Amino acid sequence: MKNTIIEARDVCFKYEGASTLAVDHVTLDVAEGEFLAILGRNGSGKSTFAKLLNALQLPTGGSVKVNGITPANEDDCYEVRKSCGMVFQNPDNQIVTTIVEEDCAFGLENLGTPPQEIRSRVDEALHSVGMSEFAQASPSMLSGGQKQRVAVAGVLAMRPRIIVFDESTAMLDPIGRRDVFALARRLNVEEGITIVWITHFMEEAAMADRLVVMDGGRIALEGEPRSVFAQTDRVLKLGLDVPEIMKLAHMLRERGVALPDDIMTVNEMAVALCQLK
Amino acid sequence: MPIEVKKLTHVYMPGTPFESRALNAVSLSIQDGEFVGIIGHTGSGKSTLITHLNGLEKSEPGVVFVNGMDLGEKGADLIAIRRVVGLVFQYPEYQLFEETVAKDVAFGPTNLGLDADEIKRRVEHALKQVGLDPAEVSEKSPFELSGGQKRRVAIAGVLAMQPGILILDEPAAGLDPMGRREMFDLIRGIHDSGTTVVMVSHSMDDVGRLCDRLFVLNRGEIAYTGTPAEVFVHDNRLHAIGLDVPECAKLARRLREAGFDMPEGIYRTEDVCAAIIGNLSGGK
Repeated sequence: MKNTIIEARDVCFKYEGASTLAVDHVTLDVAEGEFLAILGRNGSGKSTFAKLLNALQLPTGGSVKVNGITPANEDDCYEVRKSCGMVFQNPDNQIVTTIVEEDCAFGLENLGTPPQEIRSRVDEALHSVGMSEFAQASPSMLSGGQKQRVAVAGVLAMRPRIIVFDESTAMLDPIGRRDVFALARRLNVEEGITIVWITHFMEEAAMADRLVVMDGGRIALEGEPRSVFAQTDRVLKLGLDVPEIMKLAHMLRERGVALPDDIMTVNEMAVALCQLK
Repeated sequence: MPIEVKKLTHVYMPGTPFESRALNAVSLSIQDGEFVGIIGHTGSGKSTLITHLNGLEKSEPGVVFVNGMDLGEKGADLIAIRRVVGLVFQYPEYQLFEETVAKDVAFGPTNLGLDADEIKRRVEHALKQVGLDPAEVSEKSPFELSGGQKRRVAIAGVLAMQPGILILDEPAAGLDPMGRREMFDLIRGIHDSGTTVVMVSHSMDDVGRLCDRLFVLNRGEIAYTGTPAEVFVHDNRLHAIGLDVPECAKLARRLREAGFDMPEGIYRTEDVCAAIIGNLSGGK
């Protein structure tokens, strides 16, 4: 059994002046090394939940324990942010300097890390995201996907145990999207970093270890992606989508084709149909 | 003919180290009432192309024509052109600026010098076209609205100009699946009411579902053009230039290779489903 790195217990969050809870009694454990995807409509509470994970917001009810710390004061918040990094949606909103490597060093400089240590950590982080050759470049000359990789490098330089990606691929083109997702996957597999991947894209959610669907601030569905998506009607009713192949499988089943329950990919569908022919 | 482009070339920052050729001798024509998709990955020239279509970028004379007007001509009437061609940028909600929704939508028509009654009529009509209730939202601040509603208000601002041609750059970017479906329904409705629509996208799924005809741009040139089915036949080449065909088109190819009888270029989920059923019942 792996260690639990995030422990959310009955977590609630209410924005000031709001009449309803943005996050409504959510209880969720994330295991160390897990790749967890969170899906949900706009306003379902998933971004608010993300902010509770790295103490950008503190819960108004319940508790969130991250890497052993339940933040109670400002110092704890800094500790939580060191172990849980966050990559946001808009690459242009999280790049603060005019040179790529300076941007990556920003967090470390604020922590007062010695210069030699900063140098080696930044080099390592840029290398890890495949952006070493752009170390001296201006972020304005980079594509959206490259900017997100720089943002990831800035987080990596802090050596976090967890990275939360809050719709980090929403503004990217298909190549940038594939790149950033593959990077998160690699950091997860090779470096054992726990990933919380918040997205609108079903294809991405389908590739996670586990999937949580949020609706109205609560967890509506939870499980392995294929078992969640297999509840096609529920998922559609929640305003979401299922991968196109699962929709096709649903249609075929309705017309009497005996397909296994959990077909999700082109490959699986092709194999199943060839056996029926 | 509403839009005619003849060998359009566009070079950014000519004569500098950053010189780049965004468009290279692109020719195309779009007929009245069509629903056309322009698709290509980032840097393929899509955005540069559409800014030429309403005169934001200026070409040489004799290259870009809209309703017979030559946009490159000296003294071309840009106001007349922008009344004909409405352009909705990516994330248009960032362009909202007025105190109230009604004032924001009225901004364009007011600048046309229309009288107050006509402006009011147009604002109400445009808000209805995007599925918002004028009585409910008109006096709200646009910044009180949700992301999807803000985007609708921004589109209403363009529709209030009553353009015959509507160009949208990635209108569904960043929306959730339900928001995307609603946005596409809305655009389909605008097209059905007689507006020519040009939609820029990098999602083959979306353009495949909506458009009559596609232009695939790659490195500033038109790589493929035709109906979605005609374009999706080139699935391997499309993948190589950073675009993906819809999942069901991929499945159709796999099945065809495995001996199923699947029509070329088939991509709609319903069509693929029907073809598979045909194969399974025919084989028995």
